[in-house]
Amino acid sequence: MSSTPYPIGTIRQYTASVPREPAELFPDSIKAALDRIEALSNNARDGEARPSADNIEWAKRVLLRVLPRHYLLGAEIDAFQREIHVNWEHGTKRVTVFLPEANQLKIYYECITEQGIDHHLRPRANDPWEVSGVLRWLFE
Amino acid sequence: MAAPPPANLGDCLGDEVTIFRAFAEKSYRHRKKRVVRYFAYLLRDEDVADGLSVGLSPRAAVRYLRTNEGYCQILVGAIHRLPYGLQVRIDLADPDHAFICNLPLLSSSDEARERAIQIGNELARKSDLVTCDPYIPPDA
Repeated sequence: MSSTPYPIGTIRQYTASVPREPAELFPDSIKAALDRIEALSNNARDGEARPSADNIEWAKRVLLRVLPRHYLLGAEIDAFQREIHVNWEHGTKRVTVFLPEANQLKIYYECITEQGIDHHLRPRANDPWEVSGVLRWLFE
Repeated sequence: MAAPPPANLGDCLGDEVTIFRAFAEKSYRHRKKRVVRYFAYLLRDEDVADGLSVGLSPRAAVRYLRTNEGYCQILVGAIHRLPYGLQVRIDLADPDHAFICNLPLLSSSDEARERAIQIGNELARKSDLVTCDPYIPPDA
């Protein structure tokens, strides 16, 4: 007689529900953009400046900390020389997250008002959690 | 004392002249929204000596590119009227080519980064997107 109160076959391995790669936690659009930047970097021509593998990993780490996760759905990710830029727009507001190199994070945000364009740069926003705070301002 | 301007820069173009900026990369424009993005007006490391390359015709705008992803147009006066000291100067080596001078280099300092993205966004808003498809000049 079994000593467990449930059939042993109903228990699935815990690891089966844990994503093997962080990228699996991203929306398809974000994963596709990161894959595209990775491909650009891998196929860079001689002398062409492209984001390093370390910077791409850093971008993934930063974006994984964006909460709530649905903020990522409107993000556009592009490479500019060695940098990765992530952009959001909502109404008259715009946020650009700069990832110049691994472990560097700068956040630019602007709002078009009747008086002109109100803009700011957080040059040393190296805590990835700050991105969520600025995105809350964007979507409020 | 300010450094002398590079030898291949001529006079400023008149405000009534229309210039053309080629899209060297897809990130320079948004195909679905049909808008120009700030990437089209970010100075690259290799552009620092002269400025951002523009053409006085679509053909001239794409001449020095191996491939392009379309192009946009903008009035010189719209650039000169911005309060950032930008100048559009003819290329002495090519009368169908010009440079947008005095754009800040994104990577040179945090102040330059903030100014570069602000100017890039403003120039993008003032530009008219002509095509998002590769432009191949007739009889090229």
